[in-house]
Amino acid sequence: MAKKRKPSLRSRLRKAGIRHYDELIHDQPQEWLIKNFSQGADEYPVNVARLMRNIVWQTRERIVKGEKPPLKELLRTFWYMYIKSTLSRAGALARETDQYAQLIDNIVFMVKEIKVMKYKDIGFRDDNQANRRVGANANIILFSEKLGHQAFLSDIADKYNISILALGGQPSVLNIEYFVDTLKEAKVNLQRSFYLFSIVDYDPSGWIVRDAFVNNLKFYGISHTRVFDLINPDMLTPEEVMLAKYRIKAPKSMRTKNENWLRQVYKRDYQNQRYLEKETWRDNKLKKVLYGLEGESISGKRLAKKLEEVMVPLLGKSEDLLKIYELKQLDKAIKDLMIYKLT
Amino acid sequence: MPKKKTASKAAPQPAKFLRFNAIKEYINDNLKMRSSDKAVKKFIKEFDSAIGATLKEAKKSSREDKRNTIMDQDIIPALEKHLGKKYLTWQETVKEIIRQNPTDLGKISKAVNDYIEKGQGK
Repeated sequence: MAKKRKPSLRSRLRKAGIRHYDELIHDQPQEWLIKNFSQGADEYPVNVARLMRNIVWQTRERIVKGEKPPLKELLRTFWYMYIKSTLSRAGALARETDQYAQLIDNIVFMVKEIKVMKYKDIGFRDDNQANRRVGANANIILFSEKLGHQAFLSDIADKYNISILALGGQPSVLNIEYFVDTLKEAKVNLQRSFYLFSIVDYDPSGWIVRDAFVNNLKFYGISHTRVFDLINPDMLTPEEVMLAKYRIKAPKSMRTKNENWLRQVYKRDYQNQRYLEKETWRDNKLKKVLYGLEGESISGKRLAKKLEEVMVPLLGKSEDLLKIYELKQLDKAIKDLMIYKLT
Repeated sequence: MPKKKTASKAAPQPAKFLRFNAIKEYINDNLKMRSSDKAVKKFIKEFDSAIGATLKEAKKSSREDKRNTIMDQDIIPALEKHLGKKYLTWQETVKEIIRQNPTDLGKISKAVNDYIEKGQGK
């Protein structure tokens, strides 16, 4: 079947309200900014999203044409250098809204949604560079939600020469773009199988971070992945689960996320999950209270032991050897299934 | 000598059987849900393709039988092949397993092990 043609760069830019300006946008006076960016504005004199996108695009245009050297600055610095002052001049600087987060969202939109640029085009510096490493076993990736696990990740990377990445609390498209670039520089075939070992909180937010990481890898070309969740209730005894558990917040805004998470949890059949649910009566209704586990609730020693069991057999294997290994595992699983059916 | 007309090289457009608005309205009115345009388009694309493939298969079958009419005996196996297939032969199962990449093979093993564990936990 004929593949649907991607809209042209021009039309994607037009749709996003981005176009070329001869003038340096961030240097222009208020009147000029209002004249050029008032279309679609509601709360402020200018359309903030459109203004941000155009400044980003103009910066990229100038760098790509060689009119300006690559930025080599953090996104946060870009915000102060080009965006904040322009918004202030246009009378559009918010007091309560986090407009830096809005800038990040707009850049993610330009990179992932309309695909008109890459972070490296502008040369943004990766604030997380120190927390990632590509090893000789590049397709084996141990990652954590929090920077607190960095020392553990480094120890494992030193021992087994695998790739590691500490996400720093939230998934960043920029981090993953640069991480995948490092893999490409190391001549790693992105089409091969990648095994991901995750250290994220056992709760809806932790799994959202994990899924975003996997999706971002997919966006940059790594789609054959298998994830091992190292933080799960079966890594602890029932007594330990009871001691480590904490109540998962359940405001209205989180209800759907919590339900989706629980559905995913049930698919995994963790034996000790039953210690993380409690039914209580509230307002004459039976309600389910959910509990989670922090990534830190499982000791490094225990995580290392688990990695030895599930990760080490995968090390140093070519794609063909991995396939043979997995077929042997499948053979064993089928034999177990036969015994189970017969007994 | 007049030049021979050359056939257009453009690939034939796949036939459109399902209407976007019909699906949207059904989801709205009957399922009482909203739907993203992207999801509906994907749904339509897959079904249009399956309908096209099924009809082609049925046509082939009736032609082999030297008929100009598509009948039950043509459409039933075509439906089975393109839409209603639930069970694979063992050869097809093996083929399907062998073509998986290592990570997906691992997921199959895990699913088998989970099935056993679930049964043992009963």
